[in-house]
Amino acid sequence: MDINKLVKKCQKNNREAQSKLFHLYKDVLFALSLKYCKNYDEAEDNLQDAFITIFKKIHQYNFKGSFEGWIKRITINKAIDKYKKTPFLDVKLDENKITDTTIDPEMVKFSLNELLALIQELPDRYRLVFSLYELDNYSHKEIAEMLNISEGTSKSNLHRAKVILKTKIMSNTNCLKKIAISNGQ
Amino acid sequence: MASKKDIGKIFSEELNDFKASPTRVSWENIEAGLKPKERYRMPYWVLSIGLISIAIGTAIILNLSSNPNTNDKVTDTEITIENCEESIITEVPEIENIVEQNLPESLSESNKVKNTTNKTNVIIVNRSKKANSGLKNEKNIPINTNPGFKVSEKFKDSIKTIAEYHASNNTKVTETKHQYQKNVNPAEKTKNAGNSDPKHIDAKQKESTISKISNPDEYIKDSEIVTNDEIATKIDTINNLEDRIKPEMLIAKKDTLLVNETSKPIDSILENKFSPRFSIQAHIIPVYNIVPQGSLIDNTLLQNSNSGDISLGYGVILKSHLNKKFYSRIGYNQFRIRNEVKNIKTDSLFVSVLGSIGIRPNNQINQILSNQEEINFTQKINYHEIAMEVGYDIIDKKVVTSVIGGVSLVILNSNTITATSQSNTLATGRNSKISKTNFSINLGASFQYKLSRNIYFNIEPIAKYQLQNATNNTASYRPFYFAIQTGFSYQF
Repeated sequence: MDINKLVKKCQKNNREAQSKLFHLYKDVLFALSLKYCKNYDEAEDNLQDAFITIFKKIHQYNFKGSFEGWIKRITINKAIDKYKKTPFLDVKLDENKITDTTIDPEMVKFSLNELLALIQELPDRYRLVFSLYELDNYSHKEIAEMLNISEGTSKSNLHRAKVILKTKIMSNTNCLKKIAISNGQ
Repeated sequence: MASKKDIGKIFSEELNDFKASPTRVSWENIEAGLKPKERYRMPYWVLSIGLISIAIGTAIILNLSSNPNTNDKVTDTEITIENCEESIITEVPEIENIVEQNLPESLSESNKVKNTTNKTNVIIVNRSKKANSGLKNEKNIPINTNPGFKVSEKFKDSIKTIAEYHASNNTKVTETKHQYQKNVNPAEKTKNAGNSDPKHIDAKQKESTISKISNPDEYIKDSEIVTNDEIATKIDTINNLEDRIKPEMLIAKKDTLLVNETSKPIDSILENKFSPRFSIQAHIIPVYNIVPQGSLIDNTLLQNSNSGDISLGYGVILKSHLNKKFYSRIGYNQFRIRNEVKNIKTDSLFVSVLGSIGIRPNNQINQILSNQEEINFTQKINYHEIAMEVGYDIIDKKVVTSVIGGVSLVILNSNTITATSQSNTLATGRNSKISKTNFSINLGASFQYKLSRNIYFNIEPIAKYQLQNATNNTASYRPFYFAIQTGFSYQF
């Protein structure tokens, strides 16, 4: 079905069209929510809030640009709004030890859910900056505007997020190695 | 060993095609959240009634405020021979009272009845007690008294009206010179001829005046008839008299009347005097909701404890007296009725109730559900109210006490239902079943304590009963609440 026709019906408050749109995009937006939220439950809440906002504001969509991009932006903004309200507690890192944020891809042998869990365990601000910059290709300037921080802070938060992720991956890998050695493999 | 990659790029590549399906979020949940905040549009008929009521109220107030205070009205009519001839009785709207007591003997003599074969005129000389504002308010009313002429009923009615008018105001003394002269004994007459002091009026004269007022037919018969030739003489005399009569004299006469007059009718007239008045009142309204058996939220909550609560409103009232005792008033209030439904069990029915009031399950609610805790609903319904009431003053002392009755149009403003557990507020929803408009009958009392000349402190306990069920569910009921309108009013 032509997405524009579906959107037009949704703009007329057609419940059937809204239902179709929901089922069409719920998985995409839920995956997106998972990258920005702390856990599964919060991601579901975010998804629900995002869809309600989408249907309430769908008359504002003017068919210029991608509709999917428009609803993704709403979903991300919903998540950001949620965490912007909570005070951010910075994490102290020994950044002198780790300055390089590159890693051997062979070391990252994790399932998608495990990778997602690593992201979700990041502090709120770091997680948002990392997801925005690395997973959804926002610039530091855009991120700074969205999170109401400076570009420098955005870059710093991104670096710290990567350091945390690398540390966790390396520790998990070492742990796995130790387990393998102890098992005589 | 493969070349190193930025950890961000690795995550991006790995999660690029990541998809997941939500398990808890369903279209039904979304749809429940999408239920529009039905923006209430006031029906045209409601709007019309409101506007008409306001218009009527305004008209009453304006009418009363512009109702001529007859004491203050002075009609300036310069009298000439010509207009004496030409004027007809219907052209004279009012006839002011006569202060013939102050006329000199010369004028008295000229006013004696004369029968002429030619055209004759009846002249009634009027003089307002408000002559201190200029003393130009005299009028001559010529009536053709040719043979066969009869005093018309219209004229009699006019005289009656005039008599009632003077009696009701009781601020003017009416007497034709002719009648006055009849009632003055010769000694007094002589005395008065040289001394126009109104203090010399005795009670008998005044009683005679009153009797004339109450018997206009007699009054007409006894009115003097003078010829045209004499009119000019009379007017000249009256004009000269104007210079001689000082306002203080007239005021003194009034005072004398008030002090010395023993006539009961006058006293009773004074007591029954009605002066138009209206007032504006602003108040706050503590409202206690008296809740009967039933539920405005859902039929499944019928058996739960449902108790009323006190909440606060505010409003204004415009009041105008229709007569000395009765008054009508129109008011606008905004108030809230509040009730609490307690000990609701969190079973499967409860989930449907939550859905019906637009509360979406969240983590906290799921936790409550799993723990099977009991929760409470607090319902608040805000109304606009246009009240049209009449009142009757039963005690008019320091505390003016009156009974009030009337009807109100109540228009739903908003409503909320707050779900609370033992310790937390869980969520807030709204009841979409509540009727947008309703009518209530109001019955109560008003107690006004006079603080100053124009300012009153008011307490008005009023019971209000809505005439239709508040919601469309079968367990619904007709709200009944008790309001105590407490505030201040300013009387104009």
